Amino acid sequence: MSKSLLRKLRNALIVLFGVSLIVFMLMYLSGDPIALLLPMDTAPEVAEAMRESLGFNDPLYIQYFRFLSGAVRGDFGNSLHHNQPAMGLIIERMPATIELTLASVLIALAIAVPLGLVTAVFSNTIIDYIGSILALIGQSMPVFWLGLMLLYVAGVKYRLLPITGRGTWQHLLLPAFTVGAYTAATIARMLRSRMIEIMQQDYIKTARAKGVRHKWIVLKHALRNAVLPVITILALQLGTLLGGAVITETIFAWPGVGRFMLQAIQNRDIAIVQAGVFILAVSIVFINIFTDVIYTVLDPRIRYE
Amino acid sequence: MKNKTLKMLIKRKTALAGAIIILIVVVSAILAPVFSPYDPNESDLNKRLLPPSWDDEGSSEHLLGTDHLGRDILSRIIYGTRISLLVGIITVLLSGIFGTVLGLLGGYYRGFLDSFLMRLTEVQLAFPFILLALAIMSVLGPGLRNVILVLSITGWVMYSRLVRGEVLLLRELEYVKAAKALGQKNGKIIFGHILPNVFPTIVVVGTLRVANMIIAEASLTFLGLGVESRIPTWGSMLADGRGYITSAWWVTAFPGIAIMLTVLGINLVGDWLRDVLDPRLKTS
Amino acid sequence: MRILEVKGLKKYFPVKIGLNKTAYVKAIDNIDFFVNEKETLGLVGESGSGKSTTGMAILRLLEPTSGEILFNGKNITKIKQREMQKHRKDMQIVFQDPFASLNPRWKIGKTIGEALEIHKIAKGKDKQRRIDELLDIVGLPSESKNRFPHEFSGGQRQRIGIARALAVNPKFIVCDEPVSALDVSVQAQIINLLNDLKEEFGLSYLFIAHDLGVVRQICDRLAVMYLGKIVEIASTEDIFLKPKHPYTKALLSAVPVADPLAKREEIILSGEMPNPISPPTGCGFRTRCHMATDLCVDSRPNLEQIDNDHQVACHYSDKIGGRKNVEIFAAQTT
Repeated sequence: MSKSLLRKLRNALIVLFGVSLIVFMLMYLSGDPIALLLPMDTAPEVAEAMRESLGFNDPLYIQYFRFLSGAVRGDFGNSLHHNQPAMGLIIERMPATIELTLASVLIALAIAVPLGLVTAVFSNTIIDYIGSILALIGQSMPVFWLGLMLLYVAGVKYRLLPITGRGTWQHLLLPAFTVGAYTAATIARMLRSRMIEIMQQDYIKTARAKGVRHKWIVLKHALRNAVLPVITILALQLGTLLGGAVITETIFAWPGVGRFMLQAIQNRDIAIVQAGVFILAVSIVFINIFTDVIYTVLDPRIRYE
Repeated sequence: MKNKTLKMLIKRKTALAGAIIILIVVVSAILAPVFSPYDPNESDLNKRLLPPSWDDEGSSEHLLGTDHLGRDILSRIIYGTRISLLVGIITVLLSGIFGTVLGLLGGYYRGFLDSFLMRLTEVQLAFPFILLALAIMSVLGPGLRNVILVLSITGWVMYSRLVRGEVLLLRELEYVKAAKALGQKNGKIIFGHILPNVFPTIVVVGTLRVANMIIAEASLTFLGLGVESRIPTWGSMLADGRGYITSAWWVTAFPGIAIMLTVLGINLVGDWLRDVLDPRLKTS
Repeated sequence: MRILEVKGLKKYFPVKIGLNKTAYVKAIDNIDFFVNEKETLGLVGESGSGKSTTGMAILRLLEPTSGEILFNGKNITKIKQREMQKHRKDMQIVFQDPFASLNPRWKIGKTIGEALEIHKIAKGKDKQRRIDELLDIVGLPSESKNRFPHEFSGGQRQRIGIARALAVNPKFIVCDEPVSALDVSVQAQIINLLNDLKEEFGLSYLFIAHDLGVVRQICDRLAVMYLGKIVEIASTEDIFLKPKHPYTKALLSAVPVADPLAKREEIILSGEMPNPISPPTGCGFRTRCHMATDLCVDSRPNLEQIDNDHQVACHYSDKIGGRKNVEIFAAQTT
């Protein structure tokens, strides 16, 4: 197991190398990195001086290694707008984003597991149809639109919950539900089809023939076998969740990394965009390794492969 | 027995509903000038933020109301189908073809190209899709062409990963080996024997991806980093409506419903296609 | 005249066992054999013995790790794939699984026609005539060409696979367990067909099988493989009447006999073949051999000539007698 973990870490390093390359290239996509850093009406001589002093005239590979050595130390340069190290500004806002993402995972599970179970147990009844249609609709809504609608209905029209900012758990509810809805729908649909599949397998039929009560079978045997796929989907959805968080944060004025990065994008504050993209990508890579480890612990079969 | 026929019928019914939705969207896109009651950009500042016609304050002239510039929401939604479909279909075609070809080559020849592709896929999967698209758009600048470019660039990996996996299985099949033993050229084996057997999978995934791309375009445009604001699109309508969400919900609600229904229609048809063409994909 | 000669053939598959460590699975470990013109050589062994890998390597569908493959006297081991194409016309293969060996989306006519097109054997009307002819040779109606594989039974599909192989007028065919997936009654039909074709077209076969029951009816000589090595090679008659390797004897015990009262030595193979990543020291078969001694642990027996055209790799081959198998042989020939 430790060997396969080592191999995963090595692969992760290769992936991080690629991530750094893409983040580095962001600067050059526009053609001239200096144009991103200075106002439009800067005099050409000033721009040229700046180019020289920032090292943009050096060969690309030297610039990349300079960037990489900075990135390893967490140094992406200063934010033009805030005039502070970009990394520090991103780190400051990470807790809010982590809080939102975790809350959305919990909400997604809290919706998906009962919905998936109920639609599977009552498959092909009216309950199943309603539940399945709800799940399909959940998969079809754009995240930001759901956010706006919730904001209007729950926040403005009926004044049930606060609509902006961070603080109490009530502040968390709307944004977390917004981010988690799509994942909830995806997991519910997967869980339903997986449970129906499992309930038709022989050992479940055997248990049933032996007189084990129907609902008991469903909960004990089938759910245990559906846990791993749920973890897989959660891990796969992590990117979607974080992406959803970026947009949702702007709608609910949630003071996290996403909103901050969008402001930076609008201000053309490239250092912050680079630091933010890099940090989120690194988080995803490590969470994936973590998921692999959980997987190995939960499913003994994988260890022997 | 009876239960089974009923199930089939319901399955068909949902697919039929999806197909009807898609048909309506496509016809609206083609015949937008015929169907829309107003020019989508015609503004009438005397009729700003009119509620839908069934509201007490609504006007029968504007079925779904008007926006902050007095433009007819229904007309803008009808014209908006054009961009959504255009972006959805073109990006899926571009990324689908590119990703499929690379996946075929990587899976068939293995070697350096394959490991390179695998790493590239992992790198790209490390980024939240929308975040990467946003970051690139912020550097390239808004515009329809850039949206298509960025969504295609960020979208192709998933096809190449999928196709590669299929090819790895197919290349070991005996009919592929038989063709090899006969001396068939690699190109003909890839495109004659392997591609036709991967194609159903690509069609299913491609269909479902059209829905994702429509949402992605709307998201980018909503954030001001997508299609130019002078073109009526669902994303830009939502961006406009956001500022008036407390006073005029309909400006935001209807374009969102349009997106949701279109995506739902595509998902219904996609699910049905999957059951018909490629039952193995069911659980993933 | 030898149509095929294999010398010191090896095929190792690398397997990653750690971060930077690679082990090798010795799927084929230094084997030598030959096939004479118009002869059928049987290659027998359990799954995992390396017999199918051998078939693939001979046709260069897998690149051998080392060794030489001489086809019609020409060394084809290292030639470029493009040059190999010329020889593909002379050597063909029939696969085990009749459900996987035909492209499910191609009509039969297209599958057989592909072979004709590649080597520019026939075009247009000639091609259609040739397809009809080939289907007739394998005993299928010419309408078959307009149908898809799933419309045929396993035996019929195997006939189609044979027609495809015959299309290019080969001299030599690797039959990779062509009947193991078929019902017993159908097996006999396919074996008869292969025998007839051999007579009619002067073919040579390398016939791969996992039990001895099938090969007796078609093979002139037999080679028995275990863990990537040939442990015994002799004429079919000698293998059945005078087996000199305990593994061969064990395989013979598994052959069903018509007369249940016939007396014979029963050797039941216990356990499974060892993992080829870490094969046992000395003799590969010793972990399952009832005669194994310390000598078998310490030293690996070489394949040695013990009689005319009879080679065996066992330290104790002289202690193995085989008279009791007469009944099996007799029962099967009649």
